[in-house]
Amino acid sequence: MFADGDFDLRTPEPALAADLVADLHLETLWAGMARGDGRLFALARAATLTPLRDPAAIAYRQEALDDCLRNAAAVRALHAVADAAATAEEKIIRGPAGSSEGLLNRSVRVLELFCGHLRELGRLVAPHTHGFRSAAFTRLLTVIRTELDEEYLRSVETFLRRFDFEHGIIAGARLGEGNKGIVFRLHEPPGKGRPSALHRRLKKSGLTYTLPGKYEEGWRALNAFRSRLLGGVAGAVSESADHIRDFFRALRTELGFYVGCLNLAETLSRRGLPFCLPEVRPPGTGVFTAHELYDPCLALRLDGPVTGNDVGADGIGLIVVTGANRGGKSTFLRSVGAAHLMAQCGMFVPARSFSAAAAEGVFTHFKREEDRSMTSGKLDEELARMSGIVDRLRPGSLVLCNESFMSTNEREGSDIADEIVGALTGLGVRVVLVTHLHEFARRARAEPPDGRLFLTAGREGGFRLRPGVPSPTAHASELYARVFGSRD
Amino acid sequence: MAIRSILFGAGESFPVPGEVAEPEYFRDLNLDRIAAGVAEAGKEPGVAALFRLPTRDTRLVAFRQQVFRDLEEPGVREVAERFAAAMARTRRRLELIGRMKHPPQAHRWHLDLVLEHADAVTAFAGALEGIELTAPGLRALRDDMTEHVREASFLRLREQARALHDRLGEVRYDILLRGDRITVAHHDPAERFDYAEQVLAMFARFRPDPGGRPPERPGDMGLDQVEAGVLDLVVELFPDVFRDLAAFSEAHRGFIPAGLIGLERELRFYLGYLAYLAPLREAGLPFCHPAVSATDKTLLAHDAFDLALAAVLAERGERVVGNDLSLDGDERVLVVSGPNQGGKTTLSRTFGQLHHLAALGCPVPGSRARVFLPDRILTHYERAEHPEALASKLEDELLRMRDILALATPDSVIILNEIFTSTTWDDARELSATVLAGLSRLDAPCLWVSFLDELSGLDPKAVSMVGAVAEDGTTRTYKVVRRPPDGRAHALAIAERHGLTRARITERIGR
Repeated sequence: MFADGDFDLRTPEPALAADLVADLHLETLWAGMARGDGRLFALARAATLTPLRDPAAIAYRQEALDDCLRNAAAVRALHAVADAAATAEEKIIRGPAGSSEGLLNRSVRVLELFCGHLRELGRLVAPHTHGFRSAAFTRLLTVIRTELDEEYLRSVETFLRRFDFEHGIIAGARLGEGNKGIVFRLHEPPGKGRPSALHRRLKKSGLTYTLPGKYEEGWRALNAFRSRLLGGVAGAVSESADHIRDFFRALRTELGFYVGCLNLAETLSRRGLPFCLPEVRPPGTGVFTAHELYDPCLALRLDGPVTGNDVGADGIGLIVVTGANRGGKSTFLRSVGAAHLMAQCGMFVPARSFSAAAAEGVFTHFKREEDRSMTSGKLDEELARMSGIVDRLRPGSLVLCNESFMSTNEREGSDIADEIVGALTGLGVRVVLVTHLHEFARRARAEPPDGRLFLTAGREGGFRLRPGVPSPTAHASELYARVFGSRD
Repeated sequence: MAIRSILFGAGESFPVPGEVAEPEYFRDLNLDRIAAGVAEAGKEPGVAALFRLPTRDTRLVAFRQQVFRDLEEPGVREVAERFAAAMARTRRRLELIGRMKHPPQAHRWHLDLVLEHADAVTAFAGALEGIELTAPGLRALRDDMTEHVREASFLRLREQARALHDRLGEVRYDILLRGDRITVAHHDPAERFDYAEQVLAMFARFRPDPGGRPPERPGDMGLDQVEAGVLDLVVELFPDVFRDLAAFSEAHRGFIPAGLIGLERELRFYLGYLAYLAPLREAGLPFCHPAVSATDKTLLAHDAFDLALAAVLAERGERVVGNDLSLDGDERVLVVSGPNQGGKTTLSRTFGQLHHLAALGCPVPGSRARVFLPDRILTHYERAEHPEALASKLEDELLRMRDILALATPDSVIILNEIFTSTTWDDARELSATVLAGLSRLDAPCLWVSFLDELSGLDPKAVSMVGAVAEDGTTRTYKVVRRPPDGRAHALAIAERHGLTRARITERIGR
């Protein structure tokens, strides 16, 4: 997922992610990638909500994804092995906390188990020497081939058999705080046969403590002592087991994202919908051109065909979308948002072609159905949300507004929209605004057209948007008539 | 050697406060909460008693203000905090050692504690030498500490402890554990004890970055029977060093001088108060060292606020409103009136706290202040509702009023909050006028919260303050100043409140 680090699921989600998820219907997208696998869902979620900005980092994933699309079966098999190893490890019960002996025994068992899975990985990659081209997969395959060879795996298995300490434990110590014995450095376990010089010397020492009686407390203390003697080695063994587990988990995580992409690609292909690896430009370059851009979430929900839109908005800071209700305006907004998020996590995008400047965060400000706040009015609620967005905006951010500032009269709403949209575009924030505020649209059109694009949803032409000026009414009465029947 | 007090000035010994009863006005003025907060921030319950001892001695106030000023420097405060923390740790450890059963263990803890304490004291003395000090109290402390760590007895103790510690540090032994038997012998340096490293080397290729070994987990202070048994074997293996250890421990049981214990408590008074103020200062609230007088009764305070309330508001991230207070020339009585919830009671507490805190020598809330040091503070706040008849409540109030006027001298400070609310307006007015005349004759500084706004017109020594509440829709501003309506369009005014005008957005994103 990254050229220089692991993908961390715990990366904090951007603020306001909840609004973004709800407004763009992202859960539908993730469900399409996960196919019921909770872990894949979480991965898809984490990846889309932590978009990259650096085109090189995005290209790194695009190349890996390209490898995956060409070697889908092999990638799915590798993911399955990583998943099996990580899952099996989780099923081996941990002993009580603080017992080094329990920790040691468990870690030895885990390591024995992992040897099998490591062998399986080696077996899987053997036939695919030339199938993968990306830096990411080349590196992974090299590691598996050179570091996890059979010779190494056998020496590990031999080593693991010596951990039973059948002939006692020998350690060196010194006095720590309060004269407690500390830093028990373990000697190699005494073996069978003739004892070593050290072993003989210890046996002759004569200073011996024998646990008195058979009291439980004494045995507990003895176990604790033994545990501390083994502590260093148990720590080393368990640390090693953890590292191999982390290797499998990381592999499962990173491949999991690509498996999600494969799932979605399969579904879209089966439905005959186009998708492409996008061209992502650095933030602030103002590029945005797409052909047949559609909303993948709508496509996943509907069985019928979905309408794509063409957008030529290079150098455009403000896109104003007006026109008929149910004309595809909101769907267009969602397609813009989803495509940016997908492009910026290294995925393909739902379009025949797509090039865009990476956004410094995607934000949505959609009309809310009901006012949940008891204290302040609806306009207050809208503005408080916008203020929360402003807190996080930077030049190059993308703001998608759906019927914002409509909760007051048109004049005031237009005044506010003017104020806010003017400030944002002036600062290099890209805004796509779906609005019925004709006063606002009229004023925006009256100004010089540089950097503005007007799209309109018409009654004809299905749900496709065309460049065009705002129409005076939103065809609400027509919609009303259609829904409720004629008012005559 | 003696260490002079940094709270009561040069030449005096440490007066141990013992049980100082909480003054009656503490609860009314929320000073009890401040004292508790300071004691908590100072991590020393004994500080609360020091907080109950205001003074009229302007020289002593100045003495403490200078100590506060020095300690407000982060470099100086850090030195003091480090020492106080080390002292607390030493006291805690000493208590634990007293309960230990196994002598070789207890003796070792004691030895290390002596060393740790000597190091902390030496470090403190050295650090005091290295910082700029202007307060006479702290300069005297520096001299005393320098002398203390140069004394032969101190140096000898430290030297002995160190030598013994080093000898114990060289003790090495080998262990064989098999079944229920543990055998101990002198260490064999020729052998390799590196099995853990062998393990790590075997699995090194899975290590994400070649880091060091995980840190040893610190053992607990206790010693179970097996550990004790093994330690007894080690004592047999190295008899000389353990005999010397036992002798050392016996010889130096109570090794912390009383002067240092007193010093720690006094430091905690200062540090606790400053720690209590720290989050408020961080929130941008001003504090100042007031000019004080035991004779001049005029009052001046800019941007003053209720410290107890501010502590609560700052924690919640809410805004604190400061107010200006003044009594000039012959003015003695501040009459505060205005609507409910306008911050009148808060202002009365601010007034009272100013006088008490200034008389402790503490920095007070506000950007600038001049405060009279009273001989006592007398308060009359409405008590919790009694279910009794109105007449008896009025009677209670009058009795309380009579007590106050009997106790008060011209040098007292009096605070009255909403009295005579339980009688008719005419009666209240007449009673209030009588009390006001008495206060005026007394000539004591006074703040009176009253619903009778015309009260201030009845006496030339009275001045009026009006609390006004400005409701701007989201927050209440407890300011004494009225706001003119600004006549902006409604919607844009709301946008402005959310920081969404063009100018504000540009400012917010641009920064």
